[in-house]
Amino acid sequence: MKKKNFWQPYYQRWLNRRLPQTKKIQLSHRSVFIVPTAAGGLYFLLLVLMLTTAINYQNNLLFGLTFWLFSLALVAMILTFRNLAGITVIAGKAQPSFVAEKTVLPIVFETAANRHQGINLGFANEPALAFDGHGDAIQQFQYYMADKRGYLNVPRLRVETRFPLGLFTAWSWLKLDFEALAYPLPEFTPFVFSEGEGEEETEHAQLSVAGDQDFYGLRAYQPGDSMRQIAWKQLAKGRGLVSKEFEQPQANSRMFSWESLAPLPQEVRLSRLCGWIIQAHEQGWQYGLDLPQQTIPLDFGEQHKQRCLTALALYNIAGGSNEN
Amino acid sequence: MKIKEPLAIARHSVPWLLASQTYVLLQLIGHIPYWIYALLILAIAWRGLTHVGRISYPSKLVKTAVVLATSAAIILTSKFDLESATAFLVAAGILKLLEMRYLKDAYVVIFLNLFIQGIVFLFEQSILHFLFAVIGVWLLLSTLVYSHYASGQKKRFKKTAKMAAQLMLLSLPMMLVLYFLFPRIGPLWGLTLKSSQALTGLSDQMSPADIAELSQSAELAFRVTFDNNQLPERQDLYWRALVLEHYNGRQWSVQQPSHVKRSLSNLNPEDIERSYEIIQEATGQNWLFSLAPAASAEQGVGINEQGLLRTARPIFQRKRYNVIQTKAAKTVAPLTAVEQRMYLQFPKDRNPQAQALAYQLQQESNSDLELLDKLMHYFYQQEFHYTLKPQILGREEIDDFLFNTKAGFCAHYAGALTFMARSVGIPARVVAGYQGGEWHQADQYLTLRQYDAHAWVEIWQADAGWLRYDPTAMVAADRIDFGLEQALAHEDSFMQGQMFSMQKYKSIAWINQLRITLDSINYQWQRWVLSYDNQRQKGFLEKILGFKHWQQSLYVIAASFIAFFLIASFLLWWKLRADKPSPFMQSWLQLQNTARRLGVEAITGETAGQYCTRLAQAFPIHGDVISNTASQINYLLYQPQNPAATKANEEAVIQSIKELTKRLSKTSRR
Repeated sequence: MKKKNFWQPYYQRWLNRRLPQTKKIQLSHRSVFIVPTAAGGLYFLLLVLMLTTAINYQNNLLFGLTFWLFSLALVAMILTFRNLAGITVIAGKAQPSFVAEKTVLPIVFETAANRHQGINLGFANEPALAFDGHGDAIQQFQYYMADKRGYLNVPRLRVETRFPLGLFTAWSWLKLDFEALAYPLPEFTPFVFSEGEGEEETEHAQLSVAGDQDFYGLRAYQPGDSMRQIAWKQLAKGRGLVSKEFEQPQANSRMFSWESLAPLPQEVRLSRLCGWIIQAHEQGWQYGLDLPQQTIPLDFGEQHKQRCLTALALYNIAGGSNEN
Repeated sequence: MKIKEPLAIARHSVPWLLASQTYVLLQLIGHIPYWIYALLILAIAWRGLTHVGRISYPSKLVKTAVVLATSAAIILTSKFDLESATAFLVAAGILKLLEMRYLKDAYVVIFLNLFIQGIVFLFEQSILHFLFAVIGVWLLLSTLVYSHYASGQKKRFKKTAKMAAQLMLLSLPMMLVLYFLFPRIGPLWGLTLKSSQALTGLSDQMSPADIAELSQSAELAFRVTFDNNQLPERQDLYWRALVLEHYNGRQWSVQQPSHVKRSLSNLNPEDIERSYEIIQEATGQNWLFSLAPAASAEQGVGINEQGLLRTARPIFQRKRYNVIQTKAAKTVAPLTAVEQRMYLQFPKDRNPQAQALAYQLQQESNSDLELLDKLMHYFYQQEFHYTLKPQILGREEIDDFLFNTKAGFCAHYAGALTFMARSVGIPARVVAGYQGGEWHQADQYLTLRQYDAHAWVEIWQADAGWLRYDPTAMVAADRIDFGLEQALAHEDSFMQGQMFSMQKYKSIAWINQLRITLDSINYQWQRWVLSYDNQRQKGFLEKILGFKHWQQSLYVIAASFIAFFLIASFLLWWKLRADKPSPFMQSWLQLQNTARRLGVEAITGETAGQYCTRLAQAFPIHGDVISNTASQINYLLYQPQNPAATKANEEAVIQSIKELTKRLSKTSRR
């Protein structure tokens, strides 16, 4: 990021007022800024030199060429602005991710026919990806790594163009709302269970789950089935994804408790809980989550895991989103 | 802090960069040293091989060596003239190719070539070169646009070129405004690099061989239009440029730096014989051409005591000026003592025979005029020949010419007559200039070429002033009446050795027609484009636009800028407006906005019905209104109807949506 200077907070505040976070924005005079580039400066220097030459040699053709190039720059300025204005940028739905894990942010650009070319997209000071618009909706993907749990607070994205002549750069800083969650950074530690009696019992994670033995039959794979449930042999035989079903789905059913990690700081607790949930899910257990303000009863499956992780992600965050 | 790698050059644009640079530099052939083209080929080969991945960019050592070698080559051959400066610029542009790696290098190459394209105009200004230059700018712009497309996507240079052409056309109106209105101020400083290429034309020292050499050139000297569109008698078309007053026995030359004073500016209309306009090619000298007696109201033009027009600065650019031919003065000021001495000067010990002849004829005459008639008649009587290929004359040149070879051209005749007149005490002088010209009937102008160069004599008479005598007319009347080609018809020496000159093929009808048409196009080009200077601009602003002060043009320029931006903003606004949602969608979005403030977020992919259901759940008090609106919307969207009914229906739906929005916002206030 740019070195923070005195004006940076004022600038950010002004930018936040002018271009607040949004899911969808049509770029217009309100959101597009334009200034000459360094190349533009060089170009104007060239024009001054040409004009001086034209005056000194009293050369009309050189006068004409100078004025032509000058007018070209003016037209190019309008075209550079137009190249960006009118594009509608829509934040797509990003998948939830863990902190420090790369996630893909889909961004859709709705462009008018052949009017938008050479558009760069990227975070500040990161290599930008470039694309041309062809009058349709173009989906671009931007990688992003969350550094904080909660709703993704994606920094402003720079949409920029220098097309057609590179003399001017038109850009916009977009604060897009991807409505995606970042789960806490999982920390994989041995389980610490808290049973109903308030008595603590430590147990190492067991690879064998009691229910495994009581094989009942096969059924079609459903999203949320643990990897351990999948009948790999059947898959190898080309019979598709099928899951093994057990008479007693989960013998291990545990509540993960906030209190069981008592003296640890909040974020560490969340990370450990996160790690347990992932492991429990992997092993096909039934589990629940006991947080100070929220209790999620015993259950299993993909949806349940998401629910638990969401609860962790949003734990103690006001309004469920973290504004900066 | 990360250091950002500069943007790489767009790969697809490299071949076009090389091509457009080559195109621009080819226009300088003949003006820069030829080895620079070898350098160009080398640089392109290297960069091309780098492009296809065969070799890498040159190392620092190689680059330094090449730069040093090139600089040395230019400095060693340099003459501190325009050509050397241009060569330097061109070489810099070529060497830049070797390290063209990033987009910013491409900018430098393209901008440098745009500048070089402009510099070409300092050497070449014909309409053809103008068209070449337009193509050059077009190519460079296309390449510039081309290098801004995203890499790795399908490219079509043709489409890009079309876009560049559109850009150029769009900027044309603003360019024309600036071209016509931007104040044409004088040179900012006096010293500018001059081209050292020799300019053909008269020189202030005349030996007969010089004029013979000029006669072989069909290069344009100047063009004339007469204000009344009437061509004067050919016998009056003596365009004076120089008075050669000094004779050293070999050549006639300008001796005295003439004293230039301001020309008359307010003449009585009855004193004006005719007025005309001249567009003169660059001569590198400060003399202008005029018919005697001349006056000119042109700025920066003065007149010397010999009645010749002069400019303050040498003419290195084509010049356009107005001249007035006045009626002969009624009173004649006598010659001063200095002038007397100057116009009677001759080497007393030379050409005794010529002196003797003049003396003998003087004895037989009663007056100076009679003597001059006799001298003129002498050339006719003695059967002199008009030829461009005279024999080499001995030490006593005039004697040899008069009594021995009896063949020569204008310079010989004029020199001999002046010498003889001076030898018997009649003040005389050789005048050099051009005579005649080619009249273009269709466009009403006269063209004078170098082969129209001529020399004649002026004789002083105390009561009449300077009188013109042209001894050449006595020998070759055709030279005066029809021009050089006719006069030389007998010896076929006209434009000898100029195989490809169109002048040589005047007898072939279509070639002649083509020649005349081209000349006329060039003339209009010079008249309207090349010679649009300070004076012409003033005239244009006053006569066509009715401006009283030049400041007005600045206001107009400012106004055009404002107009430009207003029009552009309007067009942009119009374009964006076209993308705005329909009134129905607008009201619908308004409703969603209001609901969002109250905590009901629209979900992507949800139907209007589903949304309304959720809305009704959130606001049970408005349940009826919401469900009513929802069914209206569904009816509008999914029931096909005739257009008129749909229109009316839509209005109704918009009304109910607005009504609902109003109710919701009132809820929020409670």
